[in-house]
Amino acid sequence: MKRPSALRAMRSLLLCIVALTAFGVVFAQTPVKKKPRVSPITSAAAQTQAINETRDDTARINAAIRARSSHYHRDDGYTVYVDTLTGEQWVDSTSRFNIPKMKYPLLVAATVGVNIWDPVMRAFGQKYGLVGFNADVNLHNRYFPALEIGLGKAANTPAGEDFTYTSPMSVYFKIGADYNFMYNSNPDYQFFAGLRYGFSPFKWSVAGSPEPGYWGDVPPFKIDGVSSTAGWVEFSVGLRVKLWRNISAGWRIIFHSLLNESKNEHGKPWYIPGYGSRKGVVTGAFSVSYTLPINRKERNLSLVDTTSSEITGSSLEFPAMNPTDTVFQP
Amino acid sequence: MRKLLPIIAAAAAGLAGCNSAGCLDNGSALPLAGFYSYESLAQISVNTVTVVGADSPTDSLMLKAGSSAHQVYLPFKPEAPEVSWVFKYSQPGISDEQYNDTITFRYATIPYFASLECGAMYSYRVDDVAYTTHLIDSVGIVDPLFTNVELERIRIYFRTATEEPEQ
Repeated sequence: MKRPSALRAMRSLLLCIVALTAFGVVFAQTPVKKKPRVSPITSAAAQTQAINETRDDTARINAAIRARSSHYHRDDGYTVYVDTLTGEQWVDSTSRFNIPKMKYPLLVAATVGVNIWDPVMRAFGQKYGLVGFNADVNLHNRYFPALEIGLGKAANTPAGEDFTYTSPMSVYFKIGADYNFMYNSNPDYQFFAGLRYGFSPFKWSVAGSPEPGYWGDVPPFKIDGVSSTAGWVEFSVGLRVKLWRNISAGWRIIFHSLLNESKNEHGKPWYIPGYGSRKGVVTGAFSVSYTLPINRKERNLSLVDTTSSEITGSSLEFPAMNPTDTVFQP
Repeated sequence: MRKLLPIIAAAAAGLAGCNSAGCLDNGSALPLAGFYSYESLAQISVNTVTVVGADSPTDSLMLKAGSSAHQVYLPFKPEAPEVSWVFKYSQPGISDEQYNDTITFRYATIPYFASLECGAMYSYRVDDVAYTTHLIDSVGIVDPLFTNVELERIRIYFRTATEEPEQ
C-alpha cells in the first residue's frame, strides 16, 4: 500500500512542474508594458563622462589637434603641424610629399630691356653716359644669366678749369647673372643680387690751355684720342616689378671696382663707358623691360608613399591624414 | 631680408659719400728737389743759397738766401727740351759768381691728365741731368717721371763741412 502513495506524490510533483513551465512560457510571450523614460540628471560627472570615456582615443585626440593646427611642408617632404594654441610642432611621419627643388620650370621667361639711368642722369647734369640694352633668361625664377651691351660717351669742361675732357661714343659689354631671392614667389616681382664683369675699349682726349707758370706762358696742350681698355666687376642689388602686362621696371644699386686697365703716359681716363666716372664707387641702373613668358606653370607637390616611422622633433606622432577622421571637440 | 638691410644701408651711405674730395696733389707738375749732405747723406737745411732760373724772363727767385729751406721747386719749361737752374751762394769766400753752380735737366714733355679735380698739365720724363760741382757734389734723380704728385724726385748733395769734435 505504501507503494501507490509514493507514486501519487511523484505524479503530483510532475504535474506541478509542468504547470509551472506552461505558466512561464505563456507569461514570457506576453508583451511587457514599457516603463516611462526618466531624464538623466545634469551634473558635472555626466558632462565629462564622454570625455573620460574617449580620452585614450588617440585617433580622436590627434584629429582634434590637427583641426586647430596649421601646417607646412618641410624641405624633406614631411608635413609639420603647428598647434596654434600651444606652439608645439609635430611631424607627420607617415606620409611624405615630393617637394620639387625648384617651384618653377627651368625656362620661365626671357627679358630684354633698356637702361635709361644715364639719359635720366644727364638730364640732371651728368656729363657722361648714353644708353644700355640688357637681356636675361629666367631659370627656375631663381637664376638670371644676363648680358648687357651699351654705348657711352663723355664731354666735360669742369667749372673753373682750363681744359675739356671728351670721350667719343664707345661700346661696352657686361656679362654676369642675378639671383632672385623671391624665387618661389610670383616671377612678376623680383628682389635680386647680381654680379657682372664689364669691359670696354674706348678713346679719350683732353685739350686745354694751362695757366702761365714761372717761365711765363705755357703753350696749349692736347691729348688726342688715347686708346684705352678697362675691365671691372660689379655687385648689385635691385628690384624688378611688373608695370603692365609684360612691361616691367627695375632699379639697381651698383657697387663696382676696376680690375684692369691699360696704362699710358698721358694719365688715366676720367670716364669709362659702362662704368662711369672712375672715382665713383656706387652708381645705379634703371631699366624698363619687356618679358617674354615661356613657361610659368608651377610644379605641384606629389604625395610619396612611405613606410618611414621617423619622428623628428616631436613627442607625438600623428597618424596619416584621413579625411574620414572625425574631429573630437571636447 | 634682414641680411640685406646692411647692404642697403651701405649702398645709401656710399651714394651719399661718393662725391669727390677735391685735388690732393698739385695742379701742375712741379719738380721738387731736396738738399742733402754728401757726407752724412742726411737732409739738410740751407740759408745761404739763392736759386734762380737761368735766363728767367722775370728774374724771380725760387729760393732766396736768408730763408732756411730744405727743399725747393724747380719748374721745367714745357716748350723746351731742357732747363737750367743756377745756385748762388752768399757764404764768405764763395759768394762770387764764379762759384755758382748750375744744374741742367734734359727731358721730354708729356701732356698729362691727372684727374678732373687736379686738371690737365704737362708732365716730364727726365732723360739726363748735368751740373757743376763747386759746392754741389752730385745730383740724384729718384724717379725720372715728374707728375703733379707731391714727391721729392731730385736730390742735391752739397759739400758740407763737418765740425771736428772737441777733444
